[in-house]
Amino acid sequence: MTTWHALALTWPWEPSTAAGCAALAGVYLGLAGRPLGWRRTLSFMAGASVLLLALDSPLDGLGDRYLFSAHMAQHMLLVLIVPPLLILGIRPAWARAALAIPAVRRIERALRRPAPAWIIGTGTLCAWHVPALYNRALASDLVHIGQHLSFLVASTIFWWPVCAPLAEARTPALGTVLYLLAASLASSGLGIVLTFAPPGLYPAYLHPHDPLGLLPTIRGGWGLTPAVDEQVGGLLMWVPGGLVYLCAILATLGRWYREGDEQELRAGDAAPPGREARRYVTPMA
Amino acid sequence: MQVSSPFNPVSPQGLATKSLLELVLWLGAGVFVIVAGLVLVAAIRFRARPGAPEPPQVEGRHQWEYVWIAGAVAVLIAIFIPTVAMMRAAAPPGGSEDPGPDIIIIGHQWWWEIRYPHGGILTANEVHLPVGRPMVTRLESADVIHDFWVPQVGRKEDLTPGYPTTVVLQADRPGTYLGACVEFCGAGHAWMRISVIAESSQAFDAWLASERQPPPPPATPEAVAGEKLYASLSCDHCHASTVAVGPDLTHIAARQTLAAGRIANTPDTLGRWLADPQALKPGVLMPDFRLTPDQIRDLVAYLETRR
Amino acid sequence: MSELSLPRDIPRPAETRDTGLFAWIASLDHKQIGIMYLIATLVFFLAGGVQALLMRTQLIRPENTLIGPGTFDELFTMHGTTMIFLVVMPMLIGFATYLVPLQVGARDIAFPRMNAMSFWFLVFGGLLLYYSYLAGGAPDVGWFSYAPLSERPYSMTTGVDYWALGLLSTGIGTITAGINLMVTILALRAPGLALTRLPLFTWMVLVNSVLILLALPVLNASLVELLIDRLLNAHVFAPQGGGSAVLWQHYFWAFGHPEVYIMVLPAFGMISEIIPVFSSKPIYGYEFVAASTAAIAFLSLVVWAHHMFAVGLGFASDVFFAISSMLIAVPTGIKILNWTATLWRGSIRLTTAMLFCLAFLAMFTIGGISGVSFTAVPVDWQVEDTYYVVAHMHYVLFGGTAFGMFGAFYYWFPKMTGRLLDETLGKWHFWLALVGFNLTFMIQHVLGLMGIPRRVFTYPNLPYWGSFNVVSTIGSYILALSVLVFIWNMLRSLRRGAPAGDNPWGAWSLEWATSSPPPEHNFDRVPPIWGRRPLWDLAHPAASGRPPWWRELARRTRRPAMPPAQMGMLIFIGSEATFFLVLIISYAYYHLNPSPGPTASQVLHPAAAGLNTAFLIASSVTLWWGMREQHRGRRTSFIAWLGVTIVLGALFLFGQGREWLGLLTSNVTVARDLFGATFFTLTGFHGLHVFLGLLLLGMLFVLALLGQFRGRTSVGVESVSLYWHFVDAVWIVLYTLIYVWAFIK
Repeated sequence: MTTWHALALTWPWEPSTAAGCAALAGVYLGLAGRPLGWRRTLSFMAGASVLLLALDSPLDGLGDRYLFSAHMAQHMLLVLIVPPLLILGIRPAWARAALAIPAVRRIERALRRPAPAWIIGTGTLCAWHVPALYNRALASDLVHIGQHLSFLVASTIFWWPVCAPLAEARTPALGTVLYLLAASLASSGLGIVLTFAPPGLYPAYLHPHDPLGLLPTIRGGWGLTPAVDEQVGGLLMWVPGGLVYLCAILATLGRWYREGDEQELRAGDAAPPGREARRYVTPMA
Repeated sequence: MQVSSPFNPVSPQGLATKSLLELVLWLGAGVFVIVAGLVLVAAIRFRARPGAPEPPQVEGRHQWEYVWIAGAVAVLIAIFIPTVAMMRAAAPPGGSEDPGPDIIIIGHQWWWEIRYPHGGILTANEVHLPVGRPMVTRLESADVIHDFWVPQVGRKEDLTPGYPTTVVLQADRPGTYLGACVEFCGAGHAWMRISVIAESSQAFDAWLASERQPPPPPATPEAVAGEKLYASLSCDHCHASTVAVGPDLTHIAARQTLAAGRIANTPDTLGRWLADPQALKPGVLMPDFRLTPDQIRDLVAYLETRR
Repeated sequence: MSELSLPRDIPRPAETRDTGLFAWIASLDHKQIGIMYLIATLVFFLAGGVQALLMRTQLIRPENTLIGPGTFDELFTMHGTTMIFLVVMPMLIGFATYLVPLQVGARDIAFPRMNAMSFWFLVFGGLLLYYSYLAGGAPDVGWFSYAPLSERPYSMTTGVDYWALGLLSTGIGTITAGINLMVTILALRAPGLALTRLPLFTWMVLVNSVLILLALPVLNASLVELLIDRLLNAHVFAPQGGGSAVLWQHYFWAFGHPEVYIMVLPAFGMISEIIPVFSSKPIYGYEFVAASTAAIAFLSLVVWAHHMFAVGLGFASDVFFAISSMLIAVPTGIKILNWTATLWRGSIRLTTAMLFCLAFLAMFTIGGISGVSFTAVPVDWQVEDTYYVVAHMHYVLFGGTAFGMFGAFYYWFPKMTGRLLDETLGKWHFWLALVGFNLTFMIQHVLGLMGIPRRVFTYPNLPYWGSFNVVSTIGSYILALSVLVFIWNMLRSLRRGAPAGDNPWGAWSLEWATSSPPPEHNFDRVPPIWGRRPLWDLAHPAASGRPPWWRELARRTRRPAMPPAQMGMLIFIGSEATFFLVLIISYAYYHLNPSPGPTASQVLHPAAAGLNTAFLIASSVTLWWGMREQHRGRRTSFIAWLGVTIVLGALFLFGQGREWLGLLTSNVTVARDLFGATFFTLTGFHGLHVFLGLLLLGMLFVLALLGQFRGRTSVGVESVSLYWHFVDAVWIVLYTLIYVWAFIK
């Protein structure tokens, strides 16, 4: 069996997921009207496409049954890529309109502070990797859907203070850098533990039920034995996951430098430069 | 004697590594020439001249930064792709029908125990390979971390206690290739050398056969006296194959070097070694037995029969 | 063009500083402490240099017997340890201690007493390390101390113990210095000096401090575990007892790789200051230089395993670490190109300082390129642990950092002493160093590629090996000569150097706006700051077409909402969390890979420990409540709740002691198995923290009884309570990790 063949077999072609993603995009376009701000629109569409890719592709088919690493890749997309892209697509006007509703505002105020957002985001990520919970998600479709939904919601909360459309909802730049650094250390730490844990942390992947006859391709052709598979999963979280946080940190620093540190400086009491400077400078004789 | 270097490879993976190494060095040389050239030109062309006006206060253009980033990424991709291809090629073969390693190399302070499990052979400090045949080799350590490296044969790999690993050794040309332990392992580290002896299939088989034979009994009177001395000094206390504190001596006279590649193996050097091991290899665990010249002569005569 | 000077009409207080020896020893002035750092590290630099020369002399010909392996192994261990922990890192910290408060326009460093403590911890650590020579033998297992060679049966002298203790001491000093510098930069900046306007040296010191606080605790924790192995017969890193030799390598390089950047980033900062000044142009792409520093720092934390390609970790992890290690080349390359672009179309003055910076660019590029070659994994499989690595590392640390620091000495010596270093001697120093350095190390690339391993006291007489080593040794003598010229230049210039004036180079950052040497209080008046180059802006008040900030009114830095002491405590807590993380990973690792012997689920009692946990959580609540009472102005109630907190904490410790006693009497010990080793280490260190917290709370209690803390808030109380809550939070993690994990299935 070729790799392409295997990928085609594991493609779920789940109409409900595709419909959901299409509806998301449709609602966005419907609300947006004209003119389309191309950056935000592009970002939102990219988010919806990645969501589709994560939930309705071989990643899902392989991750459900065969490969921890594929499942990890799927989760990484749901946690690290989809939410920030979707948030970046939201227009400030919508956010302002939504926040005019008192209940929404109250929730947003409570969750946008870094500490709760960080704990919710990182906590959800860590909690689902406890073997007992993870194995339950593999065993039951309902729990599995819950897992994916909770990842999406928690990560949306996590990314909100980083890239919310309204400046006042965002944490100041340097704080954001620390926030992301701490999150990346936590997720790298988890990745490290998964990388070095003995194989069989999630027993379902040791001897998967194999109605499609894929195992020989996966084990032999791709070389993904259970030990390697678990290691690759951990490494995916550790290294590429860390790089996503790094990109976010760099983007934050970039915005900080572009906006000239508005939040840190405010109009002060010193005199304008010309007059003040004269007191310090003696022209060369 | 040819230089023992990654630039004279005798194995397929060594060849691939050599081309990768050359690619990296050429790319690196290019980058260096550009940077150093720019610095040099700037230092000469833009030197301050008295009375010159202040230069324009340029603070940078983002477009250039992105060009540099793209350039750096392109160079790295050019290195990364052959890197991965080469790593795949060097990886030991997987598969469920693993017949076990052809060779087991066990690091000791400061010598190499070498086993050929299929033939039941135990030797030390010299790895024999049949030309052109990949030999799956397991690396282990009995004490601290050592590292097996023979530049012409290919990759180095650590011998970590409690963490056995596997590499594939292959040499496509007959010859003796020198290497050494390259992970610092204590006082004898500098003289923990190793050689790989690649020979034709026939020669390799003949060597296997002779290693399997017990050595002939000593014939000369000196050798017989030496055998008694060997027993009374309880040399096998360390050198017996079951103990492996020191190298197995069953076929010592058939080996090319003494004391893990310290010196060529001749009756004369063997005598010098027995007279004062520390002089040849400082830090070695072999005690000085304060042997008389006669005793040394007898022992050498006996050991020379063990081939 | 205008020349800058401070107005003469501002009176300057008379210098009242005592200049005797004791005044130096007892000094709390960041400038004096900075200079002491530089002097101490220069002394260690000479010691490390002598060790290097001895080694090069031994290696001058094959099979040389001048120095035996025992002494040689001690030499390279001490050389590496000295140069890394007692020279490069503290010398950079010394420069930072001197310069950062000046560059941010502060009167002093944030915590002057802690600053003195940092320095004396360094000296003490250095003395401990060198005392090993008298105590039965210096460490001889390399600066990386790979287990199990550094463990008991293979290393029986006390050398490794002194090594570990010495590094722990310097490590604590480094961490406190990092906290100090960070708080100084974040909290004590002059009005207008936004973080986006920091001089790049200060910015890189800030990033560097973050790195120190994340990396050094990892080293400290692993040293503690090594010491426990050695002194209490545990086997955390000893395969003979079920431990993992690979784990030590992970820990060591999780520290060791960031360490490489800790030793380079401030030097990047130095040349980012010097090159623009002597090119008469601002740095090209400030934002990119600054942000790429953050990228390097971040990446350095996740790429350590590229030091372990020869371990055989497997294809997958080698590939991942190859990618991430290659990525570091991108931000580093950006920096080099930005420095080069700064030169372009400038007006370059080739002072000695500038020459060293230009050499830095070329030499560091070589080091960077050979660094990239390690990320091509198969190349690494050939060159690792050979002289190629020795060459690479010295191109980074000598051709890079040391050249940068030489440049920094020439650049800032006038500020520190008021006298210029002699330029003629400086040129001699530079050319001798450049030639000697390249002679020594360029050929070592070739030696490595020809098959000479590192760390060998001698080598067989193979073709070219001897002759190439002769070249290298001759180069090292020339390099040593250049250092003598440098030392002579400094000694001579101290007395006879030309007076420098306040701003001899026409530089732009704030340290040049005060006298040379600066008064004890640094500034009579800090000039207004409108941009990244305050003194340039002052000299060009009419410059038009400047970036937007120029047209705005001068702006003031908002004071941070947090007092420095509290900020320092928070940062300290961050470094402590890293320390515990390592101990936690050890525990988790051996919990997942159990060795024969008792395990958590067999010997622990979660209920008793649960009660204990309740005590500790309750103590956090009572402390919180007590502080609320303080905010409301109810002093008596505050003191009472403080007392309750102390009692609850003591109850926790008592419960811990009971548990320990029970385990020990049933023969569960550190030496028994790896559960014991990691359990006792983890809970022991937590207990120690609780004990320290109790001492602090006790001090607060006594002070409160004596009538302190009359106000509604107190920085001291706030800081101690932060610490106490942290200790409790750690325990909640430990309880989950040790007790809950053992019993859920």
